[in-house]
Amino acid sequence: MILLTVRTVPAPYLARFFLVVAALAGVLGCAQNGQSALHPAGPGAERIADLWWLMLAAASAVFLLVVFSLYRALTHRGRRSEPQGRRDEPVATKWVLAGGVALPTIILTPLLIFTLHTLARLAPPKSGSALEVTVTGRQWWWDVQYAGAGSRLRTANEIHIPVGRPVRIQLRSEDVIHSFWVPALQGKLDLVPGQVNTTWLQANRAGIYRGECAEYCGLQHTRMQFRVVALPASEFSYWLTAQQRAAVPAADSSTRAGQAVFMSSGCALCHAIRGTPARGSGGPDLTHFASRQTIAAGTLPNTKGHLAGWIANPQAIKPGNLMPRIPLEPEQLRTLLVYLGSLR
Amino acid sequence: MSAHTVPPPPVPPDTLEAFEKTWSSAPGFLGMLREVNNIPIAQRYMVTGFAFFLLGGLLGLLMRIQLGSPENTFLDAETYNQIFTMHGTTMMFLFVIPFIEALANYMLPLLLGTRDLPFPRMTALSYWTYLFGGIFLYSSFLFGAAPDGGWFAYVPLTNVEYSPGINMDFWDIGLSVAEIAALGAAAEMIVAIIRMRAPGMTLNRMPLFVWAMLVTGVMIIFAFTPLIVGTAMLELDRKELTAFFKPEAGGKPLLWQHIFWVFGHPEVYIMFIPAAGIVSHVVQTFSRRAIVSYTLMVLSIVATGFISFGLWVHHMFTAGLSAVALGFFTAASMAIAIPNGVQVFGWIATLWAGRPVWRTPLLFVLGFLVLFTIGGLTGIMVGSVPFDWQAHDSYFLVAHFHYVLIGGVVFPLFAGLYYWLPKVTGRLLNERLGRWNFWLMFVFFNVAFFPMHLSGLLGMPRRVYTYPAGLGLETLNLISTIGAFGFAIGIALFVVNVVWSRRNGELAGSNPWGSDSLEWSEASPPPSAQFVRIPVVRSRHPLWEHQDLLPHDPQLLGQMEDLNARPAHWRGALVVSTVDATPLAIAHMPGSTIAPFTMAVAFLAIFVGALVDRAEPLAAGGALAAVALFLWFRPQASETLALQELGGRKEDPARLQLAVGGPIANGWWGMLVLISILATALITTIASYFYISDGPSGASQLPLSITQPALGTILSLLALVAVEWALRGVRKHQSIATRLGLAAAWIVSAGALGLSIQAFSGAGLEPERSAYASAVLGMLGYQWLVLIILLVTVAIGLLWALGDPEDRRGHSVVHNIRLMAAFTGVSAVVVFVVVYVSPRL
Amino acid sequence: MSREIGTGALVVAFLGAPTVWALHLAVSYFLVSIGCRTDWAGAKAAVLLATVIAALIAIGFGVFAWQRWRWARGGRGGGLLDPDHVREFLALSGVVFAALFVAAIIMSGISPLFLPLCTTS
Repeated sequence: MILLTVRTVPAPYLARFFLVVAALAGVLGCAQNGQSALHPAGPGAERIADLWWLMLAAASAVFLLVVFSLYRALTHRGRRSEPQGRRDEPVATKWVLAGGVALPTIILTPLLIFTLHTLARLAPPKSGSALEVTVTGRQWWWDVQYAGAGSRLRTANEIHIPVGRPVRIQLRSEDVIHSFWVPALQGKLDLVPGQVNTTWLQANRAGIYRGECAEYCGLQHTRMQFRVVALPASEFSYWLTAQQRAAVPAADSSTRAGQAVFMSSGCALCHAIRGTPARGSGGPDLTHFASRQTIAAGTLPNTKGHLAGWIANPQAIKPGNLMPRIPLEPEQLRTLLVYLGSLR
Repeated sequence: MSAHTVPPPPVPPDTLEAFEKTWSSAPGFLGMLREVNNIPIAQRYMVTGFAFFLLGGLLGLLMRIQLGSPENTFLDAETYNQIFTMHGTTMMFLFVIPFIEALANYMLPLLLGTRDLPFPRMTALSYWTYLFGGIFLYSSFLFGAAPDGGWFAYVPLTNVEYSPGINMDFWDIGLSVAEIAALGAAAEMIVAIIRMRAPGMTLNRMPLFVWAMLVTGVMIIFAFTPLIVGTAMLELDRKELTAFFKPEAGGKPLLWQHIFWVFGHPEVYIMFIPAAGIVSHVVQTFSRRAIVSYTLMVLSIVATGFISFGLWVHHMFTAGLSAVALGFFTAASMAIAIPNGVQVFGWIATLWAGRPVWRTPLLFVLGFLVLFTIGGLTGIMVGSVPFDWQAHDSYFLVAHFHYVLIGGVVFPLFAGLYYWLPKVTGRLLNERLGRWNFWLMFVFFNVAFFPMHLSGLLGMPRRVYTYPAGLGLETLNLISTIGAFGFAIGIALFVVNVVWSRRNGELAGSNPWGSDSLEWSEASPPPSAQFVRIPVVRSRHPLWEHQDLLPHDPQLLGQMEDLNARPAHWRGALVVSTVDATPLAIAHMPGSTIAPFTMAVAFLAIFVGALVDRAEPLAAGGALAAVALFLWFRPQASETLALQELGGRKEDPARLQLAVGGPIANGWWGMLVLISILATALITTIASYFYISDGPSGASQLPLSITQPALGTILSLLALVAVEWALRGVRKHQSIATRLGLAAAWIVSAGALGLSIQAFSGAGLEPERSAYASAVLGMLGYQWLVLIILLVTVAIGLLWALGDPEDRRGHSVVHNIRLMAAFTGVSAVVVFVVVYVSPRL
Repeated sequence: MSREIGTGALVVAFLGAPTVWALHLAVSYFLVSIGCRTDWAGAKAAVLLATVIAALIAIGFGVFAWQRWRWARGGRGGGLLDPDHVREFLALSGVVFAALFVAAIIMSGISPLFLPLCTTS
């Protein structure tokens, strides 16, 4: 029987390996990408992050303890050479009880209590604040409506909130189960057809936070993203007022021509533009489309070039999505882009 | 009583020859189809299972290529969605559990000291069904219609409105595969372990892998059955016959999640517990000492089994359930750390108390300990609701479950293979290749999956076919892809090792590792009878503590002589008492027969018919199933011989009798398993009924007429009375009573069935448009199924009673019918109360 | 003194506490569902009461198992295959289970002390 030395599986090497991993993780995890749960920008995500760091510390300690115990077990000297069938070592049994019963209980009891405490603190604020946002999930975009305090507006794929105040959000679904996730601000919550779930968002500072669908909802689940824009209070009020107005009337001939293209090419069957005959509700409301960051639920930045590509062939960019390809003459497309660009 | 070391009298050579012939496989291709012995079947099963592992792994590599760089176009969205669904479905349904079942099928008789599993035809049926079902599922790729709804297929996405193609029908019907194979395996394992051990192997002397498989078998019954109910409900919805899950009809999408996860969570422990059993064996053998505190290890296995049924809601933490409910399940998710911790420290303590033998199996166990600890710790993290709200459905979760499934299950399986394959093939695997295999797998597994913890927390959701550049995800994904390929090379090395060792491996001999349990007392590879002479054990570690496996007690000596290369002309194995393992009787084991293969073909025809909605394959399948049933239950010549040989022994306590007629027979215990399955299905259906109808009061808008159903229920109870009368006829040898009783039971049950069906159709309910009506149909349909099973069993019993009323096999059938009739009566009352009485309360 | 311990008693000793735990979970979840659907104010108290009762019953099973364990240890009648050891093992298991599952029952049952009954997250 060839006895290999224990140097092949030494705990010092293992510990060094994981230190390197942790360092790498630290470096790579530094990315501030607008959607990081490790860089919380609001109280919801902050409370969760506090819990996370605590659990990471405890888990690391337990892991090192287990690895160290394993190392000691493998290098322990002084044993009989015959296989021992019968006598259970009382010392060893005590270690099993200590490590397997006492240790988990000691760690898990406070952890459970802190978990329940954090869970309680993550409950949505009581409705009473005037603003109510309803997000309805559809394959594969986000229908956003604001109501209350005399406000009524509808937009898509973008939610604006005032800095420093919590905003309740009602989550509904028209079709399948989706999930609403803004990692920098809050944990996720599902949109389940047939029920209403309530979450809330609050940002500590102004900025744009990325959100995504986090429950597989079909072909283009990947391209069902959204943005949360946190604005200082005055800017938020301004935005709210502006969004409620009907669409900017077409001012010049190009814009008017573009509007005509919009109305005659079938766009109005799915899209609504308040203040015009377009009343479609199957697709996103475009009344203030030009003020939004992205096209097609976070798929493309909202620039003229991307918009042109999208309108020319939505199926090439997001295959299977519900916007059909409608062939347009170049001049029609040009004026349409001017028109859509005017919808601030 | 002095210990006898007198060896047993030698077996006459012609007896030995006849014994070996009795246990040998039938020759040729037809012989291969007719095989029922566990050894050849388990070998095929393992190869098939491993093949699915490689296929599933290939799908995983394709996914990693696509995700290796942002906005990649290697796979389009539809293809990617099919691939990730099939990757998960393959691994969870076509690889891990079937492979574990296969390993258990092979090793259990050897570990227990018996000659075969209790239901050899069921073993064959499980395998053929699994093979055909796996091929059925993969054939979907040929039609470009592979399932694409994710391996857990959430509704409404996978319901007919949003998945109109046959993709999810392939999934739903194909899952019947896994379900039949798993339940069959569960019945085998449970009955083998509680009834067919070596004498002296009391419960507290059973090897830990045996305990693990006992717990696993019980868990399979309570976990897979809800899945059967759920997938049936989904398929009925998809065929637009019902609306269980359709919100517009009052259905509840979350009901699917509850049903699926009541299965899904225990399922992962169904995978882990056998792996833990393997680890115990390897740690014990390769530290040259018994596991420290056997009692605590057994209790951990059992406790884990129990607690795993109380965690399922942690898969639904983001679905919008009430906070207190979330609290219950977060507590239970943390509580399971205690038995798991006991096991981990138990293994470490054993290594400490012993002296490590540095071979490949031990390396895989050490790798397991490290990786499973990481996976278990991240499991505690995601078990905490607030953190789960960030981690759920992100790559953090993908990392977690791969650590527990690959680290916690696949690594022990590899340890088990390096440990036990020499017993199967007779040759050791190459150590050097084994070490390379291990290190490649261990290092590259971490390279592939550790970064995913981070990419998840950086906001990468799961099940996405690509991700934007500039979010810090590119490097992490590229590292994961590289790791995946390295891991694949490690797996490939294993395949090379197995192939190489078939010819060139060092000969193993019977006990290459110097281990302690019974399988190492037999040659490698073992004979198909496994034990020519049934061994007797006197301790937990027979080969370490008392090499001779002979009976010392004179009475036992006499009894065991009947099992020393005997019975010679028919396949027989020993039945013992559950707790104390005292010999009770000899059970007849069926020999080669084409019935299981025929039945599996019938299932395949039925699957195809259900998939394409055509009557011809369904009818053909039904007819073939009837043929298979006939072949299965008709009198077997070898059993007739057994009855003649052992028939007259009932009154002689010194000689073992034949295990037939009532609770002494394995079939009676198998019937108990079936009834447990049916009872679990009933509970699932009732829970679904109340969930959909918002509690009893929600259904009051449709008061259903009560007279016919009440009458039907009374008829079901009368059927039980008739069966009791028939059983009395059996005991008192009054064949008229037996025949009349069974005939009456059949007629009355048929009446109950007819009345119930008529009551439903007369009520004017429209299940396709109303979830409540669907729930009623679900409850009643369940009872119809139970009645049909009863009618089939009573018919079989009636045929025996009319043919040969004194045949003890017929008596066995009547005992089993009585169990079924009792259950039918109870379930009739329960269904009646739920459907017809509770709305009126 | 070794007393006869039947298989039934062993099954009860072994499975009693886990069964109570399972029933407690089912009952609690059920009470919460009913409480939220029908706005029943007493639901929280009912859950806490169920927890206390379940814990007491589980402790009872533990005591029962402990008694059987003492009986099994009391006699070493021996016999052919030393059956007393297995009974001792099963009874001891019942004691350990009672401890574990009482802890699990309490861990679950404290949720209503921290959390509102019905907020949907």
